[in-house]
Amino acid sequence: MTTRVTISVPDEVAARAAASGNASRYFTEAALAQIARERDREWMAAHGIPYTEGGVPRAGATLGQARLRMVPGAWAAARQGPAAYAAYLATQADPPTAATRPAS
Amino acid sequence: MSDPAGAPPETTQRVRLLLDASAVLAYGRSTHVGETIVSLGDEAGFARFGISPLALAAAWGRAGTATAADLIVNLTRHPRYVALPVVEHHALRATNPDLAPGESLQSPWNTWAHLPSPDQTHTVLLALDHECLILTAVPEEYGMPGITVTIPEDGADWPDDASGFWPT
Repeated sequence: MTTRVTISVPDEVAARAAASGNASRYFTEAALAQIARERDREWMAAHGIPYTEGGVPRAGATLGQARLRMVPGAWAAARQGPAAYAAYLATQADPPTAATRPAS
Repeated sequence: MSDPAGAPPETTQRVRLLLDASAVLAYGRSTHVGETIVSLGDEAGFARFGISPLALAAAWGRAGTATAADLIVNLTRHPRYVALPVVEHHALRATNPDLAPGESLQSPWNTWAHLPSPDQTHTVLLALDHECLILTAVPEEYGMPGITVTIPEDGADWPDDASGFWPT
């Protein structure tokens, strides 16, 4: 079931939605993603799980940085075992170290 | 019909993070685990986190209190949690008909069996399968910098510059 709504959005957003070929789907997907984010927070609050809103983007940035380093070659080396992974790390200009705990 | 939780179809969902037993145990007391899980919601698609069943069992065994044990059950009901199996290729590919009798094929499990506990070994195997990071409070036990992401100590914040996780 769907409901027809009229909304106002910036011109650029409207242009991108139109260019997608299905503006309704474009906005629906964006709204569903937002709903999922809101429900994440509602779930945490309902279950008393501690977190800070300010820490969320910082945690995300940390994950993002880590993923950038784990290129396919890194995963391939890790699959070969500890020695191959250590050898791969040794070839990197800025290898991560085992001392990964940030300074407090 | 759309998923009532707003989740996209299963095909667009990915396991983007694994929690090990130490992260599971930290879930109810450290803000950092919750922040990491919530941050998954800001990623494209419906990013999920997983936990090795062995890590869940290990955390359960170390929970100490009924409240802590309840939190572990609670975590497995999180909408972004996905149950992960112990699959055959992790441990059971120990023989091969092409090998001589008694000769064994190195299994992925054996490759990482030197880690302190079986749940850590399994968590690594899952990470390699899914190409996703491991959130842990004990990165030194893995010795796999790059694959593990460290939970900041209680009272500490995430680093201003995430590259601080990789000191040169």
